[in-house]
Amino acid sequence: MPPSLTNVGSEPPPWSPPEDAPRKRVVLIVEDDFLTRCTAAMYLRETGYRVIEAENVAEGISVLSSGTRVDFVFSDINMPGSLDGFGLAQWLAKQHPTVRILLTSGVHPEALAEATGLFFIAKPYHLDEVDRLIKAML
Amino acid sequence: MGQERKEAIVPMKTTQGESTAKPVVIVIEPEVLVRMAIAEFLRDCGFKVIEGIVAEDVRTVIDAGTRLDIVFSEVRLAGRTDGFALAKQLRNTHPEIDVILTSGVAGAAEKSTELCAEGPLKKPYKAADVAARINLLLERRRSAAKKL
Repeated sequence: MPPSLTNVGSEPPPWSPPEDAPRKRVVLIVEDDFLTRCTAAMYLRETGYRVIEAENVAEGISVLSSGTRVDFVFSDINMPGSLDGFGLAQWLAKQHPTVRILLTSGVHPEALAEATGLFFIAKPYHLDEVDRLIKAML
Repeated sequence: MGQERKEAIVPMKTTQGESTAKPVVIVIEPEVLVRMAIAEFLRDCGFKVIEGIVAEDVRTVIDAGTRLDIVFSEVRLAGRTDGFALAKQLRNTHPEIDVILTSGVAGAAEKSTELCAEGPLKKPYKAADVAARINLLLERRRSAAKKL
């Protein structure tokens, strides 16, 4: 949490859930297309996840490196920037090996994903199928 | 990437169980950690929150037919349109949408006074102050609607 956003002190941030609130699983969506990201995020929130949205791999790594709890990453493969979805998967395997990742793409590199042992869902996808895969992988 | 987007993804307007009663806020903020924090706080406050990065994201949401009540935007944005221009555009095209501008750049927030009903929110801001400002603007809209 950036300290500039709120009072720095011993008080917990005002957005902390109550102690007895059910713990929501946290999904990080990394997707550069705004509508695709927004639509998937809204669906997964309504399904019961806490969802963090990142526009590219650099933002995703920023979130993952910030101390924010992330249980699952759902990432596009082809995105601008120095790292793509495969690069994020490799980074994740080194830095956060317990966090699972599901990759997606409209150019269907299933063979590449399978060769690297990564889970993949092709675009266009049904969001209930994404939810099912996340539940199965968590 | 953008060109990969397919229409088969569930449209925004018909997402499962969407509540139409919640006020809808779009947060336009390029810094992911700031955006994440304020968006999560506002969701906990009961708002439906859409997260955007550039001014054009607001237009995309409007064009998709999604109702927006409040735009909470950083002044300095990548792309052709900054927060000032976004506020001016919305004031002309969608006066029913209230805009709150924020910036950490000295002078930028003050410059936005004429574009925001209650003046700008300087960074660093308290998340609770953002929620209070949103509620104030929503209440003002409700009161005005009752008088009509």
